Amino acid sequence: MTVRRKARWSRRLDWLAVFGALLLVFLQGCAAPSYESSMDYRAPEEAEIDSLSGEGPAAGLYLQSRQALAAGDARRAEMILERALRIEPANPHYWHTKARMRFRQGDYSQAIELGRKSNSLAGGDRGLKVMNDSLIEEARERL
Amino acid sequence: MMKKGGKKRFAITTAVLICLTLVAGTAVWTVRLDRTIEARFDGRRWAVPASVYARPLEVYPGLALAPERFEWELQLAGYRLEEHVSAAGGYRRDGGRFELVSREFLFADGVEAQKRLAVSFENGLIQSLVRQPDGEKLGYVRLDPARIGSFHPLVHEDRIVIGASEVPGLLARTLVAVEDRDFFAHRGISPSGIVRALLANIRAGAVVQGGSTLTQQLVKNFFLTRERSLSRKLREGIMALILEARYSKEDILTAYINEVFLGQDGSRAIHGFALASHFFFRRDLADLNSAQIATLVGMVKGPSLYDPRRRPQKSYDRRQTVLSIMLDQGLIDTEEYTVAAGRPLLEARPQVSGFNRFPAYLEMVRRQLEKEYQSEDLKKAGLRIFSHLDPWVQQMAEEQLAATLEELGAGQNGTDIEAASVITAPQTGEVLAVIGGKEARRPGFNRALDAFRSIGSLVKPAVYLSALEKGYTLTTPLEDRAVFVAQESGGWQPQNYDQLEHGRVALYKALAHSYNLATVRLGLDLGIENVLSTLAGLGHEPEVEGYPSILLGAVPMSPLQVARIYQTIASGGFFLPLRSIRAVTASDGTLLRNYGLEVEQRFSPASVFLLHHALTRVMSEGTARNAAAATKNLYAGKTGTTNDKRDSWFAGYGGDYLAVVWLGNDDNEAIPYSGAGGALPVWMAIMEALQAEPAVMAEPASIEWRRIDPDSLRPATIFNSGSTLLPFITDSTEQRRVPFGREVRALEKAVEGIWQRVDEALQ
Repeated sequence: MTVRRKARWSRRLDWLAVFGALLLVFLQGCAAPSYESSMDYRAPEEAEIDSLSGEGPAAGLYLQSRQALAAGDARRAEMILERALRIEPANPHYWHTKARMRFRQGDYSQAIELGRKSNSLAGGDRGLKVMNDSLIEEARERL
Repeated sequence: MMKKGGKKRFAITTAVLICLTLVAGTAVWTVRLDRTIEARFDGRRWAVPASVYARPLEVYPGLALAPERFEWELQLAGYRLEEHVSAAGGYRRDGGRFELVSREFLFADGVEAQKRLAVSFENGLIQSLVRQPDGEKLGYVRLDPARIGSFHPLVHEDRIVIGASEVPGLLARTLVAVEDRDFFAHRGISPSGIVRALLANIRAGAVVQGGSTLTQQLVKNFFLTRERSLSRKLREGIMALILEARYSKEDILTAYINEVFLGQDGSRAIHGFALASHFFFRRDLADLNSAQIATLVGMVKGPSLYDPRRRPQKSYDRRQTVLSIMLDQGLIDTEEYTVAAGRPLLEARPQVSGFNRFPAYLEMVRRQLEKEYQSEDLKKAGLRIFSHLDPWVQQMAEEQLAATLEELGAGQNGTDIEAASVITAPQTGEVLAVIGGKEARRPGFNRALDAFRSIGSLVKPAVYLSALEKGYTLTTPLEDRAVFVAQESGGWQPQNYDQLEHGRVALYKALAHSYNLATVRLGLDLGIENVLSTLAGLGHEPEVEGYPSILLGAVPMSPLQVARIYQTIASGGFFLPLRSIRAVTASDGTLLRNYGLEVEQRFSPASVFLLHHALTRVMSEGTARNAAAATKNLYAGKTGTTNDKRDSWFAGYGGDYLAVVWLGNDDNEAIPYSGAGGALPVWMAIMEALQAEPAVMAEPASIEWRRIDPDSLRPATIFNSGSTLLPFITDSTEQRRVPFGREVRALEKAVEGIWQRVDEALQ
């Protein structure tokens, strides 16, 4: 009985399949979210906000903005937040915070729009998206 | 017959009557003058025009900033180069290291305190920001902004008004000693002063002293025009008396210090010591040294005669005279006199002034404000207006426009090319720069705001976005074939730019290559109303007539209006009003209005993402592919050329800048440039000079990438050369894991690389 050796191209394909399978497993393990996460974009809870690291100029301004809000000066808080946004316009947390500020001022239509803007930049940050969605829903109810 | 006594009585009566009339007349006249004084002096005493500020320079470690640009910004904001940095507003530079003292400044959101800083640069970045003298490292500093203009009353005046408490004692005493020694004693007119002056003049053989008191001079400056007549002198005298009767010496002296004319800067008059102090010595009044005070006081007698810039010798001599008077009267001691007398006349170098340098931008600010404030308030109430103007962006844009126009040889062959540009921040809608014409610094017809020209192919994204919103994909095949549109007034038969038909083409290609025929067919299929509604959604407010020709851009728009619609695309489908003003405060800092950030989602992020991708293809393979720049593939944009080449447009964006450029001819004659040939090189040069970041749009979760053969429009594999990756909207709702498609793509790329290497090895 003769054993026919597999054709060369067939063998190559076998190796390719093995290699491909291994690669697939490897990639599954380290699939990256869809946008840059060199900074830890966690959605800040109210209580956590002041522990946000003071790194970077925008973060410093963000803290200042929160402090102004805590001191009751909502207008000033928003103006400072916008300065942070000017430096980091793609930061979804800042947009979310602005949405929250508008919500507190009773500007529900802007709260919704800003929540949507934050969502459009949130990428794979599900936590933030959930917060935006709930804010949007609450604002809709009050419109 | 009249008795003798009667004649006398008659004479007396007449005399009395005449006297009474005169007295009555004088009383009436005096009361009128009094009213005038009251009206001018009380309440809003001086016309303090609204000040407009550029955006402040914000610095922090890690910021990409060249030290040259930093120095330029400092000078624009009125900082002085000094050997030893002592007072606020001074700086010194040692290669990549700066030392400066910032000025305290009242922003709309609070006060930024004065700081002494050391700023170090390395490799085009700010390395460190250290507060002196305690050595604390700062993460962020906001510097006081450049003042870029004011809204003048008709007579081109300007003011920095100060209160009595801000007047330096030495200045007040010197002024009195030199101009009106008896100021605190007299009642408005000083007969002894007149006599003294007369004697001094006779002795000198020339007019060396004026007999007018400070009060009289104030009246002269304040109320009346320059006519010199006896009746005028008389009126002056009476008004001076009234002024003294009504107001305190301190009030009058302060008014004088704020009012006196001290020089001319082009069409702008310099009134008041505070402004003069900034203008001649680049510092606050409080920071003047005795020599500088002497110079300014000396100029009161004749601002042009003793102008330190134009008549340095005369100014110097006059200053020395004043210094001797100061010494004489015991206002300064001998040591101070010696030091002061030995100082050079003008220590600061000629000013790089931001003032009135940005007329096109100021025009936009003014129009925005006039909608909300009375014209008079703008000119008198001392409002403070904080704008979004980025002076460096404006400067770069102006330079690159001029340089590129010259390279293109514009203006030769008899055609007069004009240009306009608007630059904004794509995510926040702030207008950063406006160029109204190729001579950017000259005020005049502001083409960025007021030149409404057909936008040609710039309209196409509106057509394609309509399609994408309706479910078309980037590979939906379109027919680029002849089309005839029947109309009431005959028919319309559009042509492609190259006069050819391209047959069946992918949607993205039709946009990238700006095929007219495919676009018209697409637009008609969708319905013109649909396209108009998309155009309105993008932010174009004026009504547009629904003629088929609008599909190829027979819509007139200004560069600002174009910026508005591309802004909505660049921000991912969110409409943002374009803002030139950040906030307006009263002169005391009270916030009057804040122009906050507002957005409105108009289109689905997924559709806009697809459109964005197609616009990047314009740069990489479409009508903008020949742009001579290594960085062109970083951006997204659209060329626009109108019929008969009357307009050359380019609108596009990166991550941090969006810019619209228009070239054309005011007389609507043809110009020798297409969009790609004229506006695009200008745009590219500007984006490169700004070092604009790549246009990266956040990718919605519903996007998946597929490899497609661009000719057959069928899915392709890595084995197909020429195949390309394109984004599609999946039907599924938000994925919980990374979409499988992404993994396959990554795998494909990896294997592709291996195969390439194998291929090469086998060759």
